[in-house]
Amino acid sequence: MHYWSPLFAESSQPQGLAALGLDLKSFIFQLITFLIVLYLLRRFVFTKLSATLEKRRETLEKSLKQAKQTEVALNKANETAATIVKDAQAQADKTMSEARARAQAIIMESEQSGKQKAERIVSDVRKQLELEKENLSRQLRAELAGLVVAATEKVIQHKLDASQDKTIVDTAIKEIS
Amino acid sequence: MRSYSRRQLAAYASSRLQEGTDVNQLAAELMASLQESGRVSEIEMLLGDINYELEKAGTLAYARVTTAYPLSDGLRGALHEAIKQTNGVSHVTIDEHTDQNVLGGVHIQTATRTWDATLRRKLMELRKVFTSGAY
Repeated sequence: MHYWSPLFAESSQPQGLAALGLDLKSFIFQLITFLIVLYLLRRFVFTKLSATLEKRRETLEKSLKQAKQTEVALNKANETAATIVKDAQAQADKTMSEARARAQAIIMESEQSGKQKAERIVSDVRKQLELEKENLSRQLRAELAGLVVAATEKVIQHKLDASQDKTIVDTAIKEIS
Repeated sequence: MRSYSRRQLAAYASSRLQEGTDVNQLAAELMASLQESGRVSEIEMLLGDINYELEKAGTLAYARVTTAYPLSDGLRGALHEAIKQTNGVSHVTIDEHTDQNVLGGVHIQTATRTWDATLRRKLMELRKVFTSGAY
């Protein structure tokens, strides 16, 4: 292979670096070129690039931080929601059980009231029956008394004569005296 | 003319009768008084009041006697004496009535007292005992 180099003449036998296959002149030239490119890159590219990368890194970091914060807030909100739901559930359970207890109490009250009403009605009817029984008894006695008196009257009218009446009148007069 | 109460007229008549005043004259006076005051309808009540005054004064007892059968002389006499003694009067006038409704016994009514010893009353009492629920 033949390397072109205007600055350096070819030696007859490769020595030193040339033995390694490196051309010093072109190496230096390339090195200078490299350094110039490096300088240019560093001056015009790397600074802006690193600034941009730094900005992007900061942005990413901020985003990550925000995401973490959001995650924390979300977790907290979830926890709060869970607590609220739990409390609401407990309140609802309590309200339900109170409502059940109240309904039970109302049912028992109604039953008791109905029972008392029934007992009152029965008691009233009994009293009414007793009154009617007494009335009937009284009427019966009055009827019986009437019959007895009427019968006795008839007997007296038929059996009592003047002489027997005389005895009765005599006894009455003695009582008056 | 002044108006007198029935009691006043009865007291007056009683005293006049005890004095022995003529009955017809007294009757005329009483009628005039009743007519004057427009109380002729009260004449029966006035007679009752006069009986009461006379009996209270111990002069006379007018007794209305009711029996189922007519009284015998003996019973009449006994009744006479009994009323005299009990009412404290010197004379007794008996007005006899018979009524089969009394069934037996005697009912005596004077101005101040009443005795009911009839069988009718006894039966009524018996009826009361039955109806009172004692049995």
